[in-house]
Amino acid sequence: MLGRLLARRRLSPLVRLGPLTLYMLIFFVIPVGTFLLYSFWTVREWDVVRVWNLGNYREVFTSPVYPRLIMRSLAVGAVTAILSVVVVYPLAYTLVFRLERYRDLILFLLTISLFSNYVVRIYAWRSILSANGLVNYLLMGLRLADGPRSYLIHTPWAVVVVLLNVYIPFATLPIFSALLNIERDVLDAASDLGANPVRTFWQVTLPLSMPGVMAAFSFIFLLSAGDFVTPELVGGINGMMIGNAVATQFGMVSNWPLGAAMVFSTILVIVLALAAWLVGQRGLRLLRV
Amino acid sequence: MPTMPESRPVSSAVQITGARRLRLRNVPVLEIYSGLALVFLFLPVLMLVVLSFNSSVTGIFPLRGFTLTWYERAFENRIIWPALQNSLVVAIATAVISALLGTPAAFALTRVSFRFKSLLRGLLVLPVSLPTLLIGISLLSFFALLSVTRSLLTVTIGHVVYCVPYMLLVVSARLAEFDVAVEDAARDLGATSFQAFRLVTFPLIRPTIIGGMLLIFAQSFDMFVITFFNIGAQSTLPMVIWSMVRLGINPSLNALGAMVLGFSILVLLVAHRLGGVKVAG
Repeated sequence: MLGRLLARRRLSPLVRLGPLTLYMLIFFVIPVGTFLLYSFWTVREWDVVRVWNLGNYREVFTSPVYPRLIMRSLAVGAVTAILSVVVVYPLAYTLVFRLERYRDLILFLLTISLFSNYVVRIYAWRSILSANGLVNYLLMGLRLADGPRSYLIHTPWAVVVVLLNVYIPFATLPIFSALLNIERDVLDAASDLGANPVRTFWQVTLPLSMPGVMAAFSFIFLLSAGDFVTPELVGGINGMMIGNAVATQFGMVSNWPLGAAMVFSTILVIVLALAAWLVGQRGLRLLRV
Repeated sequence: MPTMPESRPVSSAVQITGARRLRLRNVPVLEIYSGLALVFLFLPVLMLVVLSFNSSVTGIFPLRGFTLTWYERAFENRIIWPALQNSLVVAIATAVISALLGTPAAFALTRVSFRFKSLLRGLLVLPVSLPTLLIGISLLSFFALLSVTRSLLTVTIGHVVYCVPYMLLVVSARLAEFDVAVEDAARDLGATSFQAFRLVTFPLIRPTIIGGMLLIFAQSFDMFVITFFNIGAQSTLPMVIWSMVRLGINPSLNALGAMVLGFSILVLLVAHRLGGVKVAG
């Protein structure tokens, strides 16, 4: 059946794309749409009532807690994204230009951590960062600390470290692809024209790999800002993010419209920040002219 | 494969960079750095495996001695078996459905051009780059609106949304480097389009499809967030692990985690051996 479908080259792409497109419309696009509708509804006596209002958004933005959680999520997302690009770029560069021999092995290792053990891996960080964990054990063993350091876990920084660890493969692969796609001839041309390796890197390699860097950055930003398992397990009170508040509304508290409003408020803030940044860029360019 | 530096045409400028590279190679900063990054990446996994054999019950450090008790404990836990069975059912169903939906779509996206193609591709691949929280609760609210009872079926539906992009990416990457000439040759030799596909194209891309399915199997087997919001009365392995995690540090959890990891590595190793499975590149 599958074979016959694939074989018909002349069949319009509709037949081959149709099922998947339909599936994604029904189970991805429409659900996100209905989820948006929920944010304008309200809850009465544990039941969602379809009364249209903006009360949930008002509640999100006027509450003393949620705006702080949103800002913290965005900050954690941005810091994690920047750090992951900084940490991962040399790794991707080495994979492409230096360690060709081990490239397959290392890509396989990245695949393993991309596809396995999300919860367990985050949980394992507790035995590294907790009071009687690996880091404190080493610190005390090396006499760098005379007692366990409590600031290692239950802080936003612990969340950043663990998110960095979880999402390294997501950051490596786009940068790796971008670097791999650079024509070697271009690099040879740069050195033939007298550029030293450092200059070639800054003026040729880096600009050409920027699309990969931007892709990695936005992946990691969105995935980190929207994570709730990591802050739940290593964040403590001070590391809580908006995802935790949302998950609570869909669990114990059961105010789905409020939870939906939190999600779309966060998205709104991101969109506004992005728009402001674009306008700012434009303004700068106009000033220069 | 990109050309290796050794096979470049030798010009004086290249020789100079070659000499520089040689000097830089004496201090392999980048290689050491990459090694450290990989150590950081696998630190929690190493911890997990080490602690799963550690005989100390209360503290984590210092390590006491070697034991297999935690593995025995993990096997004695009765909740695990039905959860394992459910996880396998969901993962297999997710892999099969993703292959059936994703493979034809990948063909259309690589071989036919039409309006709005890149827009459609972007939409179809979008779920992998979104937080699973958003996908999970959107589906939950959608099912609730339609009064659909949550079950393993709703979980599978959610897993496919997240996993199908991998099938698209993997098969598209293979098709992009596929030599269409072999298909044309088959047709020139008298094969019908269907025969050309069945006898030539499909055997060539079959390892990629199977590899992609294994990748998706591993992904689904491990998927927590989407499952968490869309599961009914039943349980899957990541859900059991989550409930154990919530109860606090538990050495038999390390053993269970290590075994799950071992299983995932095995599945991914088979996918890798089949070759042709690339998520990037």
